[in-house]
Formats: sequence, C-alpha cells, structure tokens
Amino acid sequence: MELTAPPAGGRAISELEDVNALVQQYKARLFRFVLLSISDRDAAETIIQDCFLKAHRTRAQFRGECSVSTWLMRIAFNLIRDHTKSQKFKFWKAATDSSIDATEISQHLPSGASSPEDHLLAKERVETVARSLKALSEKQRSIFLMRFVEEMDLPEIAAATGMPIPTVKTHLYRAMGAIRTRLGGRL
Amino acid sequence: MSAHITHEEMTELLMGNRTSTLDSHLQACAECREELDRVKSSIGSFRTASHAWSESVAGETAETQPVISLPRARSYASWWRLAAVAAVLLIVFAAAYRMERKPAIDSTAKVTTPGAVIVQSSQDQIAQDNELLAQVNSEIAESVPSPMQPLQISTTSSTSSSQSTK
Repeated sequence: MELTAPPAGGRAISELEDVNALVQQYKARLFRFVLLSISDRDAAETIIQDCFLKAHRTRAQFRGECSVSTWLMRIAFNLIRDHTKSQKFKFWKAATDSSIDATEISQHLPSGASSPEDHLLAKERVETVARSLKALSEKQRSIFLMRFVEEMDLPEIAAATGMPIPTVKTHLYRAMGAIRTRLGGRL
Repeated sequence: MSAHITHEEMTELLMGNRTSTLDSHLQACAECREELDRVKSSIGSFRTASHAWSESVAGETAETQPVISLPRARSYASWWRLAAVAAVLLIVFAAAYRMERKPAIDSTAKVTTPGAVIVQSSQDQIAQDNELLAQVNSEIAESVPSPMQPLQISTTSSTSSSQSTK
C-alpha cells in the first residue's frame, strides 16, 4: 500500500480558517502595501477589511499553489485596482493632492549611527523616492512596492499580479527608471 | 574598460542578481559603483522608513478600529435554538392576543346587554312613573286635608239634601 503525501496547501488552507491569526500575521504588511499604493488611510483600512473578509469567504478556492501571503497580496492588488478605477477615487484625486506625505515617511527613518549630515541626506532621498511613487503608474507602483518594500521575488509578484514574469520585469524597469531619474542618476 | 552597465543590468543588480561580468565591471568603474550604492541605499532607507511609518499608522488605527469580525455560519444547534425562541414568542403573542381579545368579547356583550337593560329599565321606569302618576292623581282627586274632612262631609251632605228637597 502506497502512502500518499498530504496536499501541499493543507497547512496554508488551515491557516486561512483562523481569521484572527491571519489578521495578526499579515495586517501590517498588507496595510503598508495598500497605504503606500493609494495614500488614503481610511480607504486603506476599508480595503484591508475587505481583503480579509474576501480571503475568508473564498478560502475554499485557495489551492495552496502560492503562499497565503502572496494570495492575500493578490486580493489586495485587485481591490486597489477596483478602488483606483472608481469614480469616487478619481474625483478626490482630482480635487485634492492625495499623494503620500513624503515628509511623514522620512521622519520615521531611524538615525542609527550615521552623522546628522548623512541622516539628513538619507531623509531627503527617502522623500525623493516617496514622491517618485506618485509619478508611477498603478502597476509600476504596486510592482515596485512588492519587490523593494515587501521584498517579494519575481515569481511571487507574478502570482500576486497575475502577470507573466517578463511583464513584471518591464514594469519594474520603468519604475526604477523614473526613480533613478529623480535621484539624479544617469540612464 | 567596457561601457557603463545598462539600466536593466542596474535593476537586476538592485534585485540582487549579480553576475561575474557585472561584478568585475563594478570593481573597475567607480561611477557605476557609486550610482548603484546611491540607489540601493535610497531604496533601503525608503523601505526602513516606510516599515516604521506604516507600523506607527497601523498602531494608531488599531486603537480606534474594531477587530475584524466575520459573520459566522449558523450551526444546526443554533437554528434549533432560534426556532425554539420563535415558538416561545409565538405562544406568548398568541396568549397575549387572546387575553386582549377576551375582554373585547365581554365588552361587546356588555354593549348589547345594556341596550336591553336600558330598554327594559325604561319600560319599568315608565310603569313606575305611570303608577306614581296615578297615585298622585288619585291623591289629588281624593285626598283632602284632614282639617277639611268634616267640611267636605258636611258640604256633601247638604248638597245631597238640597237636591233631595228639589
């Protein structure tokens, strides 16, 4: 009699059952990604709530082909896309400057052992990167954030966005091109 | 020295995809090395700052936002409990309705009965009134104050005598 291996996603599927543990483990990461993507705290909170609710309701569809984290990022990515397409978002974006508060982010940069001059320079660069995100397209921004803030690898990003890896790379190159230009680099 | 590394190669280096060719170029080219270090440190600082910032914001919102509560699927036991509560409520309401309706029925009976009572009592009253009236009439017609009684007798007798003489 042959022993059959348990399904690869068995542990991950059971992980989806305990929604409180799921929130505890992944909320900070998802919140950061959504907040940096849409620059609106209230909307980010709503999207995070919707993300966990959707994950819980559709947990039966999760086949364990990717990690729970990647699956949640995919749900969040789709919710962000729906949100940014909505007329309400377009109206408020046109009516107000809803860009990320670059100064607010840079103030959270720890000084560490660097000199005051180096710390000031680092803060300025953080602000430059934060402002550069505004110039990116929605896909470029999401892929940049997934790769360089959430440190996901390319196959994970491809799974989360539903794009092939070459397309992910193309978006990443363009995003990096815009950011390097603002940082004063040569292309 | 070969030409500077391309933008795509720089992005690959930023993602940690190093090759021996690129490494040897970086060792030889200070400009590319400096560029790579600047972009790398900028993105690294942005990552560190955004992590700290988002944790701070998440901490603020966690104090005001409620914990996510999911709608639970009802078990069979809970459905039975719900049915039992509904049955009890139905019985209570039915009893209350019946209690409320019973006095109404009585009151309707009283509504019809007083009509008959009123009719009956009015007939009695008429009969009593008639009796009283008859009594009064008879008293008016017949009764004479006691001091006048002899006079009335004498008057009556004289009248009768005078008639008899005629």
